Amino acid sequence: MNVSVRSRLTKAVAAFLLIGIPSALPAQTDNSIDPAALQQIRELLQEKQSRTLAQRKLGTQLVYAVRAAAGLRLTASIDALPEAAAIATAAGVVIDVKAATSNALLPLSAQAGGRVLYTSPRTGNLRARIPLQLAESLAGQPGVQFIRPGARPRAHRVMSPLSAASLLGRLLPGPPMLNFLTNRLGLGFFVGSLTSQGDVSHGAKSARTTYGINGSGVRVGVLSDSAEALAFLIGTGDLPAGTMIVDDLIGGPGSSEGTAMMEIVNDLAPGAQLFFASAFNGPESFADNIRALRDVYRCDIIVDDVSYSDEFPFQDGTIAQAVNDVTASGAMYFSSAGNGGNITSGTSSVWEGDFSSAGTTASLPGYTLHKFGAQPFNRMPTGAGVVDLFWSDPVGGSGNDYDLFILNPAGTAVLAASLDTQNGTQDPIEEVFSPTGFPANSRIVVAAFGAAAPRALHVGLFFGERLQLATNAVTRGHNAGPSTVSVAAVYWNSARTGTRPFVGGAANPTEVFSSDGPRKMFFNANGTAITPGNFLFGANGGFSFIKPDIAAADGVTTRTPGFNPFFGTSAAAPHAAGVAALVKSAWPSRTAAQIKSAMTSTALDIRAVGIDRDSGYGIVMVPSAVDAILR
Amino acid sequence: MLVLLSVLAMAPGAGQAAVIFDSGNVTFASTGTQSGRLARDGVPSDWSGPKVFPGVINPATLYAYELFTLNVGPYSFIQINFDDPSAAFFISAYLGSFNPASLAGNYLGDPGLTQPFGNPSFFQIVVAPFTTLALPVNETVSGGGTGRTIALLVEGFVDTEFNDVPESSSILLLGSGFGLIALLRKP
Repeated sequence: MNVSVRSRLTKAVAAFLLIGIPSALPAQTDNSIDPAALQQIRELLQEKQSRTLAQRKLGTQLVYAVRAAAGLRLTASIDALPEAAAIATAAGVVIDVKAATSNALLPLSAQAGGRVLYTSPRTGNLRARIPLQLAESLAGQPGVQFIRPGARPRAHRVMSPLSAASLLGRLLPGPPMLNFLTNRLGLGFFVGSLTSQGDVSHGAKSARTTYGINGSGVRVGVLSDSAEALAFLIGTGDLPAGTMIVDDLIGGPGSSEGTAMMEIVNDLAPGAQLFFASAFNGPESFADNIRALRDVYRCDIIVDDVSYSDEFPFQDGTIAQAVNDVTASGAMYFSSAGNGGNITSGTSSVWEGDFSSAGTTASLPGYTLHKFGAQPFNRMPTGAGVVDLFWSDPVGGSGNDYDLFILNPAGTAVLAASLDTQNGTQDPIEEVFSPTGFPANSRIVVAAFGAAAPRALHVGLFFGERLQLATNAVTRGHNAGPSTVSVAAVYWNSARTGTRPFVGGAANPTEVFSSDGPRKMFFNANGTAITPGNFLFGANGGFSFIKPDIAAADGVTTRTPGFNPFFGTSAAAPHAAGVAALVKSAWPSRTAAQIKSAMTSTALDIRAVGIDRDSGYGIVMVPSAVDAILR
Repeated sequence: MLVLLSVLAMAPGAGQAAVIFDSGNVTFASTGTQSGRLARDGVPSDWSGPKVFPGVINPATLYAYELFTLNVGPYSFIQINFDDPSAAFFISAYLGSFNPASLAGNYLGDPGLTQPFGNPSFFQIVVAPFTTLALPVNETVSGGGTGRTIALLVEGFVDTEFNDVPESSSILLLGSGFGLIALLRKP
């Protein structure tokens, strides 16, 4: 998206959508990092500086895992970092390869039991599962720019406390038992499909009758993890027989969240033609499936509920650029804002702000630690699985070298670290992952190496765990992309009045877990700066986009096993897509921009008065949006 | 019958819920005690079919319960919404009557979980029109419900698509009921 388009967005509104509001802080008793941990950080920096050219093209956790597998001690005081070693299993390690061309890499990746999982015909990048010992030789190949551990996807369903039990499967009675029971109850019929309460909440049910619309003629593409329950749901009447799977999950099974999403779209817009593609086969596959849904299957509306851990907050990445492409060709794109929490509810999983020097120390030459408020670390009160650090350099062009460390709760030892080299051509990201989760109260330390210039930082816990020192601006990546309609979640019965249309105002707040915005970006999709020379929040660099854009229902009933109730922005996004399908079917030749305007201009205001960081324009409603599109 | 008449008065028209019962915010008032309580299995009952009884946990513990009894009127598809801000209770539904000594007897369904994310829980059951429902609300910690607020909202529909216009057969039955009332009230 270019700056002229951005200028049409509401800059005045963006000005008061504050960045960097600190949450209430628990009392701090320890503001220091133990000398033993500083010693380990120093040693890890030395290890980084000793890497070969090939090793510098490997993500740090891969480097550490290779060393551990070879039986090599990591540093003088660290035998190994178990979290890094754990990324590789007996089946190998999943990697994402950024490459100029993948042709020469394919046979190499397939050596020794390796398997290429996906190759993008568009970019040459590939995803593969390889034996760990192949990593260095692959990195040494010409054309390979960088290899990192496979980015982790997550769908934005929120699991209720006992959902693990529910995932064991619902006990669905067979027809004889059901008939016996219904007959016993005096019911001479067979129970049919289920319907989302959101059909009433958004006024879709009444609008279908009033306007004689049902989404007919509209094609809706859905991306999530998988759609295994499709045949079952066609049998129950919950999905139409013509629903098409374009690309399903490789190496499943998944949770079939895609069918739960499609059920919601179908409940609101039963005339729409539905298509499904998996977003869980890697970022490149996700991006290509977005384009396929538009370019091959001619979807008018596309909706997803997936994020990848390495999606950039400050510039469009691979997936967001695919969204840009399909929206430029006329499609509407909806995505879940995410379940990373929000500062309003005190649940944020993100800290955003400018790098702030905590000073240098003789015990840590080469590094300047970042100060979170008054202390050189942040904490994860409940632990976390994936921790990400991003900064405001262009994708593929970072020359400021920041590193990320996870310390134990006492601050006496390093648990994990990411020290990739950024010297002008790499991505502005460091990521650490723990398969079992970092312990509660582990510390997060950010360090700038050498002459790294101060940049805007984004520290986030990918799976939405709360951060001790947190800010707003949780949503990121394509979920908050400039071309995406980003969707927050509101419980269908938040007003506690039963199955009735939303009324807005204080009666219908966003969920406590719904990710907030806005989304500040410093770079256009092509890597050019929006505000050249100004890459800091404090200097008002970049541009703030209204994200999330809108809000829609969650916590609803679906018939996909394990998705009743279906909580999360994953459930909200398909409600918004269903609303759009109905609006489009009311006047099919209206453009995506006109439909979006009809939806946002008539949305019910919730949370802060006017456009706000929690819900954007508010809850979208079918009757008023159809009225608006018909004017 | 009084409950039934209140249903008719509150039915708001097609496309919205017919509110069968709305307790408003009330303070939990124990009706009695039950031995043990239903296991929370994370699976809400819904209109796709009957839920299998989830089992009883802590059978040696006595839990206070408050019993709500109502008639569903001309509706078969019942949605029960339960607001429990303190997350201290669990609700379930029984056909006709509730026996605290036999939690499996007459069991119809439950929400499977307690107050998700601060929101009211809900579950759905299918019954014949004009069925009497018993809805016990029990503590999840013995003695933990005292003085706490709950709210119960029961909605009725004629199908799984949230329609609330009674079917013709139900209307005929309802008409018969009114006729009976008229006959009984004749001097």
